[in-house]
Amino acid sequence: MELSNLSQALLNLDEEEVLRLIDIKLNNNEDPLSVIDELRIGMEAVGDKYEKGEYFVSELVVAKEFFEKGIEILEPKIKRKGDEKALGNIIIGTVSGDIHELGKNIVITILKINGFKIHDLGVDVPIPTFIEEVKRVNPDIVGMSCLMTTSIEPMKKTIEGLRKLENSDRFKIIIGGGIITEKVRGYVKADFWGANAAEAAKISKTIMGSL
Amino acid sequence: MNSRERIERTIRLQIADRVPVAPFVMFFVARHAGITMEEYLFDKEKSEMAAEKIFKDFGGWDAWYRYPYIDGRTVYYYPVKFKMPGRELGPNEIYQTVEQEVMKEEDYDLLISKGFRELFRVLRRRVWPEADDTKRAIVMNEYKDTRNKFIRKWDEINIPTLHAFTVNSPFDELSLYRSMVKFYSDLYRFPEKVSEALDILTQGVAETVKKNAHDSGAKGVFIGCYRLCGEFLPPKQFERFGWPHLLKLVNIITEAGILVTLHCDSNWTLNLPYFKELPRGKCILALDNHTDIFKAKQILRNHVCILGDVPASLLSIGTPNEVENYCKKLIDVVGDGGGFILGSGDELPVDTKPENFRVMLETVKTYGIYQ
Repeated sequence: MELSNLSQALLNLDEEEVLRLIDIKLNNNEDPLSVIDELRIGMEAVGDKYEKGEYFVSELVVAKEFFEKGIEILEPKIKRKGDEKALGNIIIGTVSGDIHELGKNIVITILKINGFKIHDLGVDVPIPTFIEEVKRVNPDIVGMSCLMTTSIEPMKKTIEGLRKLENSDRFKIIIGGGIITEKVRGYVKADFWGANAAEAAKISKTIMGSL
Repeated sequence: MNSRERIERTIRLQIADRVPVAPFVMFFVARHAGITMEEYLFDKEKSEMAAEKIFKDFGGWDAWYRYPYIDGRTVYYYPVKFKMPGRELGPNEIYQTVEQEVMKEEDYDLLISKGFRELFRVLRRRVWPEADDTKRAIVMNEYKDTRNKFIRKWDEINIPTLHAFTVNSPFDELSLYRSMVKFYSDLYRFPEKVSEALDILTQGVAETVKKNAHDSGAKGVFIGCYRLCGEFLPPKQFERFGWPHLLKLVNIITEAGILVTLHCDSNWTLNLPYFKELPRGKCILALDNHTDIFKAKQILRNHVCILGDVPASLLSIGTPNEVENYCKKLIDVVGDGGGFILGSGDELPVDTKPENFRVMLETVKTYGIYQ
């Protein structure tokens, strides 16, 4: 599919051109929702290149930064909200004792591009909070991140708590972060682990049967 | 052959009597000695005692990967926000960096017009407005004295400290000030200005390094390299904003007779061919188990000494048998022909199982002998 000039500008990471085109489109009285849609298509193209290994993490986060600048301009001009169905619901957080959020936020970016609805619990999420939120939201996937080996035990305990929930057969648990390996996944009894954001997206899509 | 000779030969890419070992020990030192993280960072007598104890209890190693203490008071004079044990965190938690945009877009002009030192000073005051500047020189001098005494003391028994002064690659330094996402965006928004800023910062960091590394007596510098690796940055950006400045910094430092350790966290596999441009036999490439260390050996054999990479998760939740097998594989493959120092992949985790650390050290002393 050929991209519109706005989608292409975002794919090219050309901030100036993105903002210039948004301005022109608004002056031409184009529907802000359709302009957002062009941005979304551009963002999907970035996500697609990232997942194929053609774009790198920096390009993904820069595109998201420029995308959000566009949304900031467009959102106040929208009169009706879209009610698109999400591909799936994901709860995600950095486990207790760990305040690292860069990796988690990169994963959130790529998951959102893929159409997932994200409930971000933030960092240093206490075990009871994680469990309560999963009970409340009833997600399809629970994502957990940690960068320090000292967070392996809290992660294990969080997962033990989650497995005891009534809805525990409804969701899968994916873990990721600097120190995560297959060995850690087995130890904490998570269902999957991802070495990077692209893998996290691939696993999530596989779980939802859309890959 | 003593430890110093073993390490020096290995860095020069000559074969020693056996593979040397230099684990990156820091917070595990405190855990092992039974002192809190707060005590380790703010009580130098306790932390010195803890370092003595761990070395003795585990039968020693060939070199301190780096000077093992961070004097907790010194972080309040660095322009990045930290959460510290006993201050913003519980007394036994590990300090963590807070990612925030300390340097604003307009501060590029300040760096370009007034230089690195002025930018550093302005940002430092912005992050820690309550820090008592009149005490800065006293704190820094006390820290340096303690550090230099430590280095001399271990030097006398031929256990070198590979480096006592820490900087970041110019790319990482600016990224830490600007925050990761903002800095990556800057590369696209005003690339010329970023290049100019990196040139100035590289020169500024190099001057600071030359002065401090010689002061310390360790004659080695740790360059932290993180956000410019091939996992994060596309090659064309690495070639423009990452590698030239890092290489320039390395060249300036090594030409001054100072050893450089490139402490490369995350996945650098894609970048390995660039390291062939490093001055031969004058650097250590320390890998944290995300980079393919076996590929690194293939590409950099007889060019750069490699250090690594027993993974944190293996030391923390693995078995002694698994650690031994992995160390043997490293010794066999990466140790082949010399130029390899066994080390932990990044810092030894605080919850390292003592039996795993012990087997790591024993394996190199028994299995690591060159025939």
